[in-house]
Amino acid sequence: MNVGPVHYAVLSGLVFALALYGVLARRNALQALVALALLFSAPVIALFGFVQTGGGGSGPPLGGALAFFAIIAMASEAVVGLGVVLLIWRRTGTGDIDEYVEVEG
Amino acid sequence: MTVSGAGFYIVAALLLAATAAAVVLPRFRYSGGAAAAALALVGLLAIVSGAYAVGVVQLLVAGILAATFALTLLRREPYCRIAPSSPATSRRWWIGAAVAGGFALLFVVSFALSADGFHVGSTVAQLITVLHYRAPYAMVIATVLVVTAISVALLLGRTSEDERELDRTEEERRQREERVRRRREDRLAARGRSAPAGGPQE
Repeated sequence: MNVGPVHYAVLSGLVFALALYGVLARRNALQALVALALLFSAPVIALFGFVQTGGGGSGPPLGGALAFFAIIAMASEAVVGLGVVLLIWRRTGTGDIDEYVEVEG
Repeated sequence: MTVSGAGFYIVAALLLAATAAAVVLPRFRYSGGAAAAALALVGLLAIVSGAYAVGVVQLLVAGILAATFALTLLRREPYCRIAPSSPATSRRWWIGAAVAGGFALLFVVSFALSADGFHVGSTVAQLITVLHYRAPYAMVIATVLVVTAISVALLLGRTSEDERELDRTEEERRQREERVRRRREDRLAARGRSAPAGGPQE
């Protein structure tokens, strides 16, 4: 059975929805950060899927280039987010997102 | 390029299971492991689909991120106490579930309705060709972005000398309080043992 662009689109949408649940429902900052990294990965699936199934037509695989950038952005978000979480944890002593609303500079 | 159906469905099922585990499991050790597996499976899916360059980059990034998180959070004192410092899931998790369910429904229905509308071309160019010949600046921008992100992360996550001193003082105070508490418990236990034997004789 052949796999088309719509298969990648649906998979990407499901991964996005699951990760969105993690971002909204997680109370621990680290686990929310991990869910955010997964959220960033969802468009990557659609982008390379469209390119590989010919969704981009006969032009250059700009979807692949965008996927490459999305991966770099996801990695950057994860490491900067980790730095921010460590910094806030040192100031507040908690990883609870609900308590971060009281953090002041 | 024709993508293998069996390979796609197997990796897709594993990817969905790993993503669900990453957002549901309460302990960070397990949810982080599941997230690392999910990121690696995205890379594997890219390779199965024929996007080798994207797949290799994704696998490399997943490995580096997993190693960074594991080394920072699971072993290194005092950061290993961040994960257990709060409940994993919010009490209002159902709001997140409703929003995520709505998005999932929207995506699946809209993609299913437009399934025939996707244009399928005949040839596939290589990503390396684009990055090397047509958009070399993309590589430069990506490199600058990575270097900046690592620098910012190190800048934010670094521990200055006074913070290290504060951590040491906190740790010493915690150990002192623990010793005092144990000594008090031992004294009370010893008093409890000696009371029946040394009680008043009749």
